[in-house]
Amino acid sequence: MKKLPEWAFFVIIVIVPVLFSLVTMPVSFNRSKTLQFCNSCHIMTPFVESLKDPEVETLATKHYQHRWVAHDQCATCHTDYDFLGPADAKWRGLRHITAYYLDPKPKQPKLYKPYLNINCLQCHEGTKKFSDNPVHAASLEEIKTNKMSCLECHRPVHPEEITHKE
Amino acid sequence: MDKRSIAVILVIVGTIISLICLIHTTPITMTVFFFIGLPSYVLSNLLYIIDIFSTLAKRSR
Repeated sequence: MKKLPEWAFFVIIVIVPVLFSLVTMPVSFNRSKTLQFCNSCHIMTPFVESLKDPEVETLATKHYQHRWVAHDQCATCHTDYDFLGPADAKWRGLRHITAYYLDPKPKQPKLYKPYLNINCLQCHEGTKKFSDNPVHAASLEEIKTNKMSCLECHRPVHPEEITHKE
Repeated sequence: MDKRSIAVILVIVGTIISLICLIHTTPITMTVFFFIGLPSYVLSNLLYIIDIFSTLAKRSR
């Protein structure tokens, strides 16, 4: 290997990793937003199946079946609506997978932090249906500051037989 | 085995992992890329830099 010229080492050790990282990171990041990606993890399969089940009437299912969220439904609701939200969501996802494989008794994945209302408000805030609702109007400040969760009234989000399974 | 050879092997490992992640992106291939592929690249670059500096230090003596 010492016979290789100096520039070849530079290309192999510096340029190749930079190029592969620059391609792999955004491509995998983008693909990981899709429903198919979430469904490829077996522990998520019941959640994705419940979205497609016409008998289920949960919040997530309605959003999926009525296409209120047009695409990447899991990622849209589970990504915090802020500057580092997508990166933070991916990091939490990696933590879930690592915890699953390192834990000798894997548990049902749970949210690492309470669900933020901004993820609902990014679409619903300012819409006529949202603004005309007297409950929303009366408690808008509490909703915006997360003192009251949207999910206190709008539940269940996913079928309880899946979310409460241990 | 010298530092450069180890660096090249690490690049090969990282490249194979990132190719697998590109061809078949799943939660597990993505996790392996982030926790093994990327650190392999970073480590290979560090070894290369250390090797360059140690070579320069030897020449200046």
